[in-house]
Amino acid sequence: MLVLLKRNKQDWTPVIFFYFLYSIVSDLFLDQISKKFLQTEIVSFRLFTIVEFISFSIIFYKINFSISKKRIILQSSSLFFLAIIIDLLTNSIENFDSLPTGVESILILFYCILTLYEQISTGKPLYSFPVLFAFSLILFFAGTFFLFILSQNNFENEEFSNLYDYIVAISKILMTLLMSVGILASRKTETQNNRTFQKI
Amino acid sequence: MHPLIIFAASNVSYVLLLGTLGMLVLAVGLVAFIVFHQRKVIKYQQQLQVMEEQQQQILLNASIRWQEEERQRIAADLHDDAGPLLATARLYLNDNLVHQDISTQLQSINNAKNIIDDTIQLIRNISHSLMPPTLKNFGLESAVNDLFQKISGSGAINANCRFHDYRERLQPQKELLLFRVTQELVNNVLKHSNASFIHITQNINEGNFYIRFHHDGKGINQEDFEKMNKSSIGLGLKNIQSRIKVLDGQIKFEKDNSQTFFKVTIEIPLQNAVNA
Repeated sequence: MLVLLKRNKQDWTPVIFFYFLYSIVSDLFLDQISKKFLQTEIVSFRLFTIVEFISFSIIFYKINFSISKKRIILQSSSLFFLAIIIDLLTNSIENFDSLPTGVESILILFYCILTLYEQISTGKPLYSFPVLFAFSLILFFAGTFFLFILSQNNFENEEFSNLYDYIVAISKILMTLLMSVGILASRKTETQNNRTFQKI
Repeated sequence: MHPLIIFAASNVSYVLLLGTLGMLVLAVGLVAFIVFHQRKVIKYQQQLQVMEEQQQQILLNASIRWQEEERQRIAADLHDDAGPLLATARLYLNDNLVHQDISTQLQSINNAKNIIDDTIQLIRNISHSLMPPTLKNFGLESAVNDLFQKISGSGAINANCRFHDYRERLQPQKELLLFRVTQELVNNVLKHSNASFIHITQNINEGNFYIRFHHDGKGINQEDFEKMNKSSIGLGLKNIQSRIKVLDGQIKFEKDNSQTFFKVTIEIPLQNAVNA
């Protein structure tokens, strides 16, 4: 994925590059650091939720062309930050952040639908980055929606925790695969455009 | 572990698994729906494009046929009318003319002059039919008035026209195309409708230029017009359609609310440039 991104020069490339880099760093180091110093990895999870939402929102903002949709994305993103504030005020930092992740899932699914609507109504092909990016996130956030909602009260449960790992891993693999296809599609489109430009 | 805790844990797992599966099914369903819908839309657009291309082809063929017929008509006019006239003039001015007496010479020259005058008039008529001088010099309103005066003067039909808002002339190309459409429509009314009157009004409204025809004879409605446009018959109507298309306008054939008269409305935008 990182190799594919390195060869791609779109305005959303640095954001998605950062997201995947952060995911790796978070899984390998930040979770352990959080566990070691704060006795829980939830803080790292909480931070990841924020980084994830901001990254995806920026990508959606960049791949949508209509100004009204960009405005909707900007305005509705404030709901997520509101959810974080409410969660911090009402919930312990050591508990799973079900409210922000739930709001994040709903908002990202909403952005996916907005993006798909724009792509389809403008007659864009399905084999393109925005469409495949939206598909990958629909699958990921739909797959993990119940998981995140139920996590707050069941995270200490061993059976639940095992299921959590499986579901997140499978959903993430699906998401990454679809996103990689999307990046390949955007690379193909870019190459075709360059060739057409050279011919002209 | 207490059995109740085990039960609660399993219950949560079931809920989680079912919920996740349900959401995934919904997500996959949504993705599948979008994919199929998009394919359907693309197929429909392709069909539309094919139909559009076919229609373009019909219009192009009609336009070429019309041009050929026009050329044949001009060729026939020149060959059948101008040719014999000039040949006759040449006969009058043959080699023997110098050996004849002065009065015969004068008579022959006078006859040749008259024939050449007739030929000039004939060529002028052909030229006028290609590009009416009234249209070129004074605009659409005068050209249509002229046309209607001639039709009315023949006594066969009562023809009158009224331009309500024609302070500024249209581009020459637009005027010519509109005049040709008007000619074709009037011709159709004269040939096929058996009408006792034909009336034209012109107006401008919200940046659009309107011309409306009324007649009390036999006519066609929009459905007939579209049918004829797609068939091999109705060359004149196809020419009208292709000219209206060049003007980026619309034409509508319908019956009056009173169901007594037929009306044809031409609408063209004033701002759009003519590509032709």
